[in-house]
Amino acid sequence: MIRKIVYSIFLATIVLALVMFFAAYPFGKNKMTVGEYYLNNGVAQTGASNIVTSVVVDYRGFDTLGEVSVLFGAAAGVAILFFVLAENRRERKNITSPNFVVKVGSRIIFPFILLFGTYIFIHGHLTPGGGFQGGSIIASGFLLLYLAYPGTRVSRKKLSAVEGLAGLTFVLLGLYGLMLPESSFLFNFLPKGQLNALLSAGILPIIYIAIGFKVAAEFAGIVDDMMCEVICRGGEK
Amino acid sequence: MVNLANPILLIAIPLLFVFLIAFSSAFSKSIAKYLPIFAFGLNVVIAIMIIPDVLKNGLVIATTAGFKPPIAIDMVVDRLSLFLAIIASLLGFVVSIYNVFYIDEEPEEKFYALFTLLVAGVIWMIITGDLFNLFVAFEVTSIAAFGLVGFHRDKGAVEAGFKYLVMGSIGGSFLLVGVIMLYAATGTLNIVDIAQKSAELTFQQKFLAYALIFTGLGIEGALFPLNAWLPDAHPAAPSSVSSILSGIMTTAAIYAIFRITNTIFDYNQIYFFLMFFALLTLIFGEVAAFFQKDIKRMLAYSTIGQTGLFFFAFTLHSTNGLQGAFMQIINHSLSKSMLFLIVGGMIMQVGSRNIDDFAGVGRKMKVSAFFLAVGMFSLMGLPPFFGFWSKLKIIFAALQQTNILMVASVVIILLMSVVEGAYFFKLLQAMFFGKPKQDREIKEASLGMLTAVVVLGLILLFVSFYPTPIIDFTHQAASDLMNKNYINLALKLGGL
Repeated sequence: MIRKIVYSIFLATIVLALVMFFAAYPFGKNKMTVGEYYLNNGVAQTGASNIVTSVVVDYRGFDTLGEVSVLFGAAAGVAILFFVLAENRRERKNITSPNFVVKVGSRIIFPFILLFGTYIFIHGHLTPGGGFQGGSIIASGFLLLYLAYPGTRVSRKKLSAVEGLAGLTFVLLGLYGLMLPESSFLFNFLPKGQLNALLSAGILPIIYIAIGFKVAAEFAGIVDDMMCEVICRGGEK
Repeated sequence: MVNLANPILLIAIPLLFVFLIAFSSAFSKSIAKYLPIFAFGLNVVIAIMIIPDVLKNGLVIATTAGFKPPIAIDMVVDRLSLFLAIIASLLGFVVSIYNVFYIDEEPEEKFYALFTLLVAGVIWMIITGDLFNLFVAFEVTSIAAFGLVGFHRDKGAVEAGFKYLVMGSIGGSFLLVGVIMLYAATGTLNIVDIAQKSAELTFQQKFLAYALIFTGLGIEGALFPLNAWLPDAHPAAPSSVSSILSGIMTTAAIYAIFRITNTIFDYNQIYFFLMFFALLTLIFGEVAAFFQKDIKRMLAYSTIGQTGLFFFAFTLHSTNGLQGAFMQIINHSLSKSMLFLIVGGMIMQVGSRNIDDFAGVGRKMKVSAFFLAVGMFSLMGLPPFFGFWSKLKIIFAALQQTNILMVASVVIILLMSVVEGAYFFKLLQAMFFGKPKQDREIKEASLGMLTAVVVLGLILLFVSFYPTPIIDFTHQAASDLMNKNYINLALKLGGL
């Protein structure tokens, strides 16, 4: 009882302090110096009609390289934790087969999911969405395949190759910027093109396509690892 | 022509190799082993090429995306961050060599990719000039570390990894909210720009942001009440990973606290408060280390103690204090990484982490044990070694501020040095003079592993017997920090 009172007093103090401090911040006021700059100059300087993309991939593209690495690290971490040696793998037999509707439905819908995901990341610089979103949509298509056909195996080597190649594209595009007179990492060196055209905004669409492939490969890898946890261990404890 | 002395390459090259490892693993399993060596070898070369620029101008700025800093992200390298980046690259290089002979567990290619990512993230945290980018670097480092801590996949490793995952993610969230608070108040994310505008902020605005950022980074930097993950994570990880975690990762988080406290929130009341945490960390780490039976856990607690020591020196907020802190960081990074590498080799031979099983090992593994003794003596601060100079500097700096609290702090530091000496000597005595418990055949560690150890050991011995350049350099770095040259030079060199 006394402990509960002490705890609640402690919590109340913290909440009170937080409220007091948060009240001191000018949220909702138009004070974002940098943000205002992006809004006023983003379209002209980057050629991307999606202002979010111009910030995420161009102005703060280096952060995005970091986020891509974070996802890479997370996928590799999952792969380490769920790793099963080849000789220990035993296919689990007693899996209830999914019903007919799931099987046929997933076959019909899978190509459309791929198409939609590709659309999302190719148009990342024009419409809402981008590499991360498109990649996750594609990976959800793989998840559907795994659920409908529990025996599905995607080749991990191919996934690694795609993942690595996409990451290399991103970094090499950035490094190319260093060789130009501007000598700046991730410098947008390609022509900006016409606003709202598919081929516009310089290197932004290329980066988003690379990110799309990378995210799709990584999420598919995570799905594969987690399915393997159920299926490859042969049901033994 | 490409200017190779560009700080951004210190991050871009390891990242390039991370993805190259992923790509190469699709074709061949054995290439991945050797790629990190090239990555960090190149990094060391580039870092050395940046030295003349930093010595000339005091600061080097690299922009990204072709825009000026407050608009885009920039990397800022001054004497201090360059120095830490060199240490991180060097440790990455040496430990990569060690890894080739040490790691024999699947999935190897994932290990090497994550290892490269971990060191890249640490360097990233050190040289970034943007607060949100610091958070991204923090995430890169922690995510890589979570996977590596659980690499052995036994019960202890997974549990330690999970504990670290939970605490690290909470820390990351705190840091993120703190950064958002600062962004809300100033409208910019560049460290120099925020420092310029922070004068206009009210106390409430500064304090909440600082508290959140301090808590977030403090978890990674293992400050006392926030460090519950460390004594589990360091022993459970492969020794080469513990060596990086202990040697440079916690240091990088502490560096970020240094940098943010000193550049953005410069109000003097905070230092007294921080000093309290530093001393608690020191006492907790050293006393806990004394009671450990697990050799790697003992080293992990000793890391907490050492962190407390150089954090204390930082809170003295004087040129001498900061210089002592930087010297202690160098001493700790070199010695502790080396100790973890040696202990990793010994555990391979002994087959246990219990201190009692190490009796007599020193007589069998002579080279390893010699460098183990060197590293421990340097950490304790025995006279001919570098640790002596750094501890001496810290104590002098503390006694410069004549008040009773400082005297008490110095007494605590000396007392803790004695505790440190006690547990290190206990181990060394058992190792050299104890009776071997088992009849297990104990051989010297493999040549490749020894190479890594010997390289670090020789560097440590070199700086011990010829400390002048480092003392001069750290003095310069400390006075840069005290004079706010980070802000002044960045403004002058167009960092804003």
